[in-house]
Amino acid sequence: MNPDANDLQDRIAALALGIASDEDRAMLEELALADPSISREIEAARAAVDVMAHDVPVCEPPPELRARLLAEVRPVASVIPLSSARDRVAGDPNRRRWAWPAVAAVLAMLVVGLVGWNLTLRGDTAPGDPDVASVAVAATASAPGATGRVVIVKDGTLAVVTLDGLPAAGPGEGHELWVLRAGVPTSAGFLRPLPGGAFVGVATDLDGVDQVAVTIEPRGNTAAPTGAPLVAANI
Amino acid sequence: MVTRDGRMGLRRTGRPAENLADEDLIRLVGDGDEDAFALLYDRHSVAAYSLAVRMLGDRESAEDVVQDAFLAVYRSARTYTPGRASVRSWLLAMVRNRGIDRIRTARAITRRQQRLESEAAVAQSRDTQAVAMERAIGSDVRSRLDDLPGEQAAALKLAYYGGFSHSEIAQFLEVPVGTVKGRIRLGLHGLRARVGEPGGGE
Repeated sequence: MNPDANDLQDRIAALALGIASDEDRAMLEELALADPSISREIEAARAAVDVMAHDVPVCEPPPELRARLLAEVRPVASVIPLSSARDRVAGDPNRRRWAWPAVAAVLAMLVVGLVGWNLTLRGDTAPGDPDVASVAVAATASAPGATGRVVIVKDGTLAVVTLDGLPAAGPGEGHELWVLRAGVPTSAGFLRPLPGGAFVGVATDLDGVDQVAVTIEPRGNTAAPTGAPLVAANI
Repeated sequence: MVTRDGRMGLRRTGRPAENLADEDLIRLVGDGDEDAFALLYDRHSVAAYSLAVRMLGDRESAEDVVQDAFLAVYRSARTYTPGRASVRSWLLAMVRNRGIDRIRTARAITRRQQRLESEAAVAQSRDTQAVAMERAIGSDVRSRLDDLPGEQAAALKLAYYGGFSHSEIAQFLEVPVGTVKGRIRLGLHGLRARVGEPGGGE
């Protein structure tokens, strides 16, 4: 494709405004690599468009937004000392071990399907649902590409964790979901892989749970985390 | 402050935080420094929120978009490339992209309703589209865009604040697609003349 001057400017304008087609975007990126003058044109168009981002009436965000945002990123730091929690757990012989009876597993599979399907249909609309809350997970340095959400049924009966971009577990290992009560982790079982590389896990009985986290663990380990946290979220 | 690497962050840089450039802060954010992140938020949240309110028209949606954008900054700080765009432009692009996603999702829902519901709903959804268009164009505050000829400013506002495509704008303004493209091209040219070449805008 060799667009004439006006046509090229139209496409550059669309690119800068973020309304270019994928095809045009790819074509312009290719042209910019080959021709510095086109690269400069794109840069100039973007600089002009940037003005529009600032050309708006000033609105102060509410203070709660700052607090909410910082609370969302905080789990990364606060979950780091899982090892100290592990020590506390090791010294507590009365700690209830997580059991994963067959009935619960079947229930979880059903719930994963239903909730996942429901969320897919609704998109990211959980915040508007009075019965369901949705929290983004925070990735740690051990899994910088990890993203995902925790969807929590507000009566505390269920949390569904969906994650993408987790590092691969080694042979005999899996991604284990932990719920934390005042820093004490309890296994909520291993995540299940989904087609496309995503993972899903379900935690039930959220009474007193304030955080969730995921680590890579040897299969069969449900006592306490031994790996570094990959992601975490305050719930 | 413990970072994602277990290292100490902003308070150990030895420089007053307010003296750090955005590029320094974003590097610290990449290491999981919450203080650096908070400082970036304090510097840019008003611009981010103002843009989101302008695009979406309601504060609740704007809060969601700003929150998502800042979280994306936190998670992808290590991918930031100095020289491609300023941290502020990078952040505002994230706000804008998320705003457009939200607007387009709302439009897609409206279109789905059109297919599923009655004639009355069709009429109502057309109104919704028109309201979105008018919101994109309208503003009580005089802006630099208003120095442009009105039809150019309108086309630019619809594209930028509303994320409308050439053909959608053409339909709304009842002009050919080629006319819309021309107005956007000339409008952008006019804006460029007002802000100067790259680097001279702010």
